[in-house]
Amino acid sequence: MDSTRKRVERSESSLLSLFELSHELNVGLDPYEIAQLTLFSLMGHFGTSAAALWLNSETDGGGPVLLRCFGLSEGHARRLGPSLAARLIEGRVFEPVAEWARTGAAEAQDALDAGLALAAAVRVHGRSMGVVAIGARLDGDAYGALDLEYLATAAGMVGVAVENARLYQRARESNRQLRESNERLAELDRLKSELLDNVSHELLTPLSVIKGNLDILDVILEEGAAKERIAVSTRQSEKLEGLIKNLLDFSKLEEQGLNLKLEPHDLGDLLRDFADARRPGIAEGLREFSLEVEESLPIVTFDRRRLLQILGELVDNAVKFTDPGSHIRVLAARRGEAIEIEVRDDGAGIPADRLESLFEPFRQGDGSSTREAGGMGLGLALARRLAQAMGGSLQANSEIAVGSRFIVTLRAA
Amino acid sequence: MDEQFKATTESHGTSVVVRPEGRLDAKTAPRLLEACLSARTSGTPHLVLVLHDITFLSSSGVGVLLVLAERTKSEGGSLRIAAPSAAVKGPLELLNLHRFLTIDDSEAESLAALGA
Repeated sequence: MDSTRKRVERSESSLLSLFELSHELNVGLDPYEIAQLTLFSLMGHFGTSAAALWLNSETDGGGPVLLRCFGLSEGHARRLGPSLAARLIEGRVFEPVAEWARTGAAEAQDALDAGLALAAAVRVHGRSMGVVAIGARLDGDAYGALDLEYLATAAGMVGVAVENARLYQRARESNRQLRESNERLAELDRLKSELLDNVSHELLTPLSVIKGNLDILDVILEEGAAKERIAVSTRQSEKLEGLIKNLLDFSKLEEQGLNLKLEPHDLGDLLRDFADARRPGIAEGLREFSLEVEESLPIVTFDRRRLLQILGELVDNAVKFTDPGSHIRVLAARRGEAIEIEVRDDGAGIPADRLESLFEPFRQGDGSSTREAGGMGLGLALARRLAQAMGGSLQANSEIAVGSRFIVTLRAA
Repeated sequence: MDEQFKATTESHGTSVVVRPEGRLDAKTAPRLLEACLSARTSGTPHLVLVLHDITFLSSSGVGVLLVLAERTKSEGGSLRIAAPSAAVKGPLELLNLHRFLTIDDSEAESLAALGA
């Protein structure tokens, strides 16, 4: 084989080796496999029977740790790692060991005795990550400038591959921790729902007894102060019962979802019944109430009891957060394929940054309002979840000093 | 299992004969190493690699041959390459490794040289 042809073939072989190394390093995710792959490739490319790779430890003070070696003993290779790394950290990308040995350095002689001829720093973005070293060529040919470049290039590729592998492992570890954290949170959430469910049931039983006795007293007592007190107690018991039922519904929704009775209904009829039932109570609180239903609304699919629960919550809310003399309107109209039911008031309005927190359980738009207006902050959260469970949504818009609008959107049947 | 590579192993006296088939590259080199190391025992220090059916030899493939040569030597045995295909001969000659690796024309020749 003449020397020119041999040079050309070696250049072609270099390109092929680099392509192969580059490709395999790109898919390698384990530093140990990356090291083995690199050393096989370098030994085969240069025709040497010795090679070793050290990587700086991420935890053990950052010093070079032997990852893999061939053709020299592991003990010898472990000892050589720190001295080669120290030598290469001084700005040299690669180091012909024989040249270094001429300085009289004992470590260089040690490397030569181990059969190493050339070492390169494994670097990424100028940061040293380790060292790769190879032995002399078996055919005795000296390493030239192109060989040094080849080794430096391969060392750079190894650096990127190791960096990627470490990033991948860190990302995987973070994901694992996140997953565990999510699982713990889900378990806590489940326990919270279970607790709510148990407590709510325990509260409802004695409350039924109290309500029953109040009903009996109401029947047997003559008109007078005592009967009025019974009426107050009955109203408060009903309010308490409503709160507990909200808690139960909420925990059921969180835990397993509610069994909804979704059927096609005439929405106009439902709204008129609702308005008739609520108008007297609202008028008693000195608020004006009106219902505006667009004519010929299509049939809509919903759970009648749950939609009434949502509307009741929205109207109660409007009464709770407006002053006497305010106007509360319920409007229903078609918007494309959807039907919108809006509960609108002309109260003080809610600041924009507090609108979304209205729908978070156990919170209201404003802590002070919660105390002032009472309630557990579950009503709107439950109303939104119920609307979503029916395939719809519940949104709020508000403008300070103009009023608030709560819009339930449902799909036409 | 990669369909492009497989290896059979067989013991002959103090030698183990390994016959890989297919491509010997970065993907398959670790498998050849594993196959050879697991087939060898203290009673079989010598290794005969029959490379007649290797269709491609990359630098990583050459690397693993050198690792095996070094390993068998350090453990008191030897490596003989038998009946290499043209795909094997080319890279070994390019690197002048045919002078350092023991290459025989046939498996029988390798086994005879090892006294098996």
